[in-house]
Amino acid sequence: MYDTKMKIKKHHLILIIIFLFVFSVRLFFAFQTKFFTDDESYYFLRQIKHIKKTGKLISHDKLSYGGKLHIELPFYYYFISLFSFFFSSIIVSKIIPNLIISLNIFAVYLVSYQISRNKTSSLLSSFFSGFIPILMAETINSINVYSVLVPSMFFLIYYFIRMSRDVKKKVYRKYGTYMIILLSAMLLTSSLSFILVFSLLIYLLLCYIQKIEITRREIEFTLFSLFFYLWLNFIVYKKAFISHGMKVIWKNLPEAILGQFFAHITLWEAIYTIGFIPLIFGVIVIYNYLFKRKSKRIYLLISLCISTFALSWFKLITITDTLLFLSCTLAVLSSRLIKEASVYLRKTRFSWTSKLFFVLIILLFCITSLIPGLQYFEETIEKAPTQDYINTFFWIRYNTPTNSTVLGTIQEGHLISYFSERKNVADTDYLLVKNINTQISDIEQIYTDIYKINALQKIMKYDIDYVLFSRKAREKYNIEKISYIEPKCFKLVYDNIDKIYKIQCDLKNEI
Amino acid sequence: MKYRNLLILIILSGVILISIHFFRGKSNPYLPGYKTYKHLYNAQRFNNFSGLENPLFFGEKDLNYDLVDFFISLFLEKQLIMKFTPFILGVLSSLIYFLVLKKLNCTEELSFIATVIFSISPVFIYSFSVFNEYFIIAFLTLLSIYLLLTDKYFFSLLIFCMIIIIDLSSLIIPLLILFTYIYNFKPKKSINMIFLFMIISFTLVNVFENNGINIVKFLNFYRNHVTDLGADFGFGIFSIALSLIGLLISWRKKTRFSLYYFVIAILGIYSVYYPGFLIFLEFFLCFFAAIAFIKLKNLKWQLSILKEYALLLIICGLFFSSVSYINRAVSFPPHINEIQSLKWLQNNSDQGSIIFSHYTNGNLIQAVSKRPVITDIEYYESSRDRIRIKDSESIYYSRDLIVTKSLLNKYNISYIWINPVMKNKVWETSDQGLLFLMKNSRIFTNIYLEENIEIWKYHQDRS
Repeated sequence: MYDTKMKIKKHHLILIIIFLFVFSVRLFFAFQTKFFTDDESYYFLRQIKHIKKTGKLISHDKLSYGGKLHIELPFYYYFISLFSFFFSSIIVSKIIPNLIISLNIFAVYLVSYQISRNKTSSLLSSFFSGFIPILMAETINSINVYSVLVPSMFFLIYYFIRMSRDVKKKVYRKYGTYMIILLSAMLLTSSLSFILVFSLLIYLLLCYIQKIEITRREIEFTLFSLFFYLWLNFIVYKKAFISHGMKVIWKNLPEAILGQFFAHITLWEAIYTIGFIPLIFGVIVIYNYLFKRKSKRIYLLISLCISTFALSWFKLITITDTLLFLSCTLAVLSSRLIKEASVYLRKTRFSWTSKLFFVLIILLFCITSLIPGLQYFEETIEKAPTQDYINTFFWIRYNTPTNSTVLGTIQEGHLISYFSERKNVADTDYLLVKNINTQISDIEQIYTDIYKINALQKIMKYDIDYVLFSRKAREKYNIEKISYIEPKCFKLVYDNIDKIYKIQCDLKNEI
Repeated sequence: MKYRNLLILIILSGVILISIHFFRGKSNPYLPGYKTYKHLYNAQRFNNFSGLENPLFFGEKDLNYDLVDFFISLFLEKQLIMKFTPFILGVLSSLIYFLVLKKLNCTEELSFIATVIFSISPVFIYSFSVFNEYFIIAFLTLLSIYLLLTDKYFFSLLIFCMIIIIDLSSLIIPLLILFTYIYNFKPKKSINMIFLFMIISFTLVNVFENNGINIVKFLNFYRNHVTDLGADFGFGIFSIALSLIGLLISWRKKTRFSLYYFVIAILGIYSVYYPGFLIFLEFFLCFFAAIAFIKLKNLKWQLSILKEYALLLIICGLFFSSVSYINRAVSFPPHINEIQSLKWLQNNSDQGSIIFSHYTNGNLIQAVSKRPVITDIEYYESSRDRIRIKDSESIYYSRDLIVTKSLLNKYNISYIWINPVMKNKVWETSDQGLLFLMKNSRIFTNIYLEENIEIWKYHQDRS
């Protein structure tokens, strides 16, 4: 009994070490730069700032698109804002998301243990999940909903398994309460939580087809999740639904960039982003349990994979979302194969290799996923803006009138709003924007047109005062300069790698 | 318990109906709804003993007077009566609906929940806050049903006659009520067959008179009457969902409810041609929604916390539809700037000057600026060929100055009145059709531009 207690503690200790290791690696990379990799993180920071000042989210934004309404699910913003009352927003935004996503280690461990009943293989799964390349890359230096969504989902799956298994009323009711709290957090964070809701429906269907008993509480929770999801999203996105119709599912993404969000992925890319071990092991488990054996708990995770695939197939979620959720699920499933392989080895004459087997798995993972993954993380950090690039936006803030409108690329929109505190012409929040395709096309035309009159027409249409011709614009439109620029009409007010032009003429004078 | 429920219902319906006028009154003292002004204008005509012809309609058509307009004309403070009457009748309707359900042997709980759902429904809110002919008919319908159920046949028949006088198209309502009553309480096969024949005949006549019906038209109509999706008048999405669940639950006892399914089907078809009939449909849908709610409440859940949350979500959803609708109803047109611009037009134009605008604005222009128009809501609803509507569309969209001029001259138009609602409805861009011509041609002069209201003068003599 003393030995069993010691063994339990040892596994918990290892788990905590894995968590601390993952968290440290994340912070190491996150603090390599003081800026964030993606522009949407700056929109997030603006919201946090606004909550700190007024207690509310920005609903009517005077800076975005020159003035537009925002629709947001509020939970994550308020959650991060809570911490920002005590610490600087930037510090909080770097640490808290990485801390929450690192908690996924525990969730993965708990779920893996439920399906494998083996602590060592569960520890391995949680280790794999800590270093999934795509998960690290998307969350290490960005503030986004994945940080909350992924761990909540796996904790919820854990409680769902426990709830369906335990027959004592008091126990399963307790788990039911935890599940409602997690479900509420997820649904109030992102509409991507539909992946879980859909997977629960598929799970019920799978159990029904395989003639596995479904408990009443599983059906109750699944139907409740579906109803709650539809109810919440209808109430929150009602205006957007009226404005855009079914396009609201794709957040009114412009046609020009729709393709890149739903691009196909090759096997090699899948291995690179998910990791070799989780991918191969997870797929083997799925195959085994779909066609050969039965296990109710594994079907729950297989349903999550099917749900992700199906939604991706119908282009209802992006390729990044697909890979992210799939990779975590496969990491969990791989624990089953690891356990079965080690049990099998122990039965053979090579039983002495069972411990070596675990070491080999770790080595293989490090070679195929961890080391390439670290390079992937480095690349992600390098994508973060540099100081001199951000200085351009600061120049705008201190040298232009406060009600100016600044044109930049769509990806610079939030940077203009956050750093320069000026109106942008467009940014990556497309919801409730009428004629977004026209607007995107007009912006491209302003940069790439050869005729001044055409460009001026568009400039007057959006009331643009300054045109930012940055390195990003050069790269995006593949141009070295804006063809029609001449000093009389476009005064060069900032000249560096990035240039800023002030509009000095109007269309009537030019015609 | 019995009187407590009645009191709660009175307070609930009263608060809901008064809140619109209360919040609207803070920023806009004018009656909500463009169609309201048709009744106001007709009532003003009654007071002036101006005869049956409508001089404020180009080509002068006869006014369609009804009893409701006559009733308003009896009062000095017409606008106050037009706010007060729907409110009183709304509260009474809510009460009578509850009593009717009790008389039909529904449990106290079912009657109460159905009445609450009815009182907070957008259909109820619209019908009893925006002045229209259907709120009186709805109240009289409920009253007649109650009188019939309490064996006061004479008074009930009297009310049926009043319903038919107020609106002939509502003839189907007394027929349906009598058919349902006789079928349930005094079954006589021969009389049932006569009523059934009459109901089906009237329905078919209406369908064929209005160019038939197809499933697409039917579905589009109902899709465009969901208030949560932007409709000005219709059902809340949560009550629709609950009603559908209730209908599914009741299907197990379909023989008991078959008559109601038939009535719902008839009302459903009629509503496509007379949208005001949606209030009658609502009487039934609320009943089924209440059935669904009670069934969900009485179900045994293994996770009782989920049950509590599910019921809470349903209640919140129902109230959300109401609250968001009230929020919108408070801002129903006409707005102050529209009324002010029309008063300005009255003071700055000659008495016989004809105003061109969207047909939905026609009655408002007549009632406020006292100037003739070429189209109004009544024309749109009653005209078979809608020539003027087609001509109006040509004027909106044509960039050919000759075509536009010829049409403006045909109707002797002097002024063009444009409000933001019309701009959003008619044109997609600011340089389309008439908007382009007005900005770029000498024959149009902008004489009023304030708070997005534009008035343009058309100079017939210029080229």
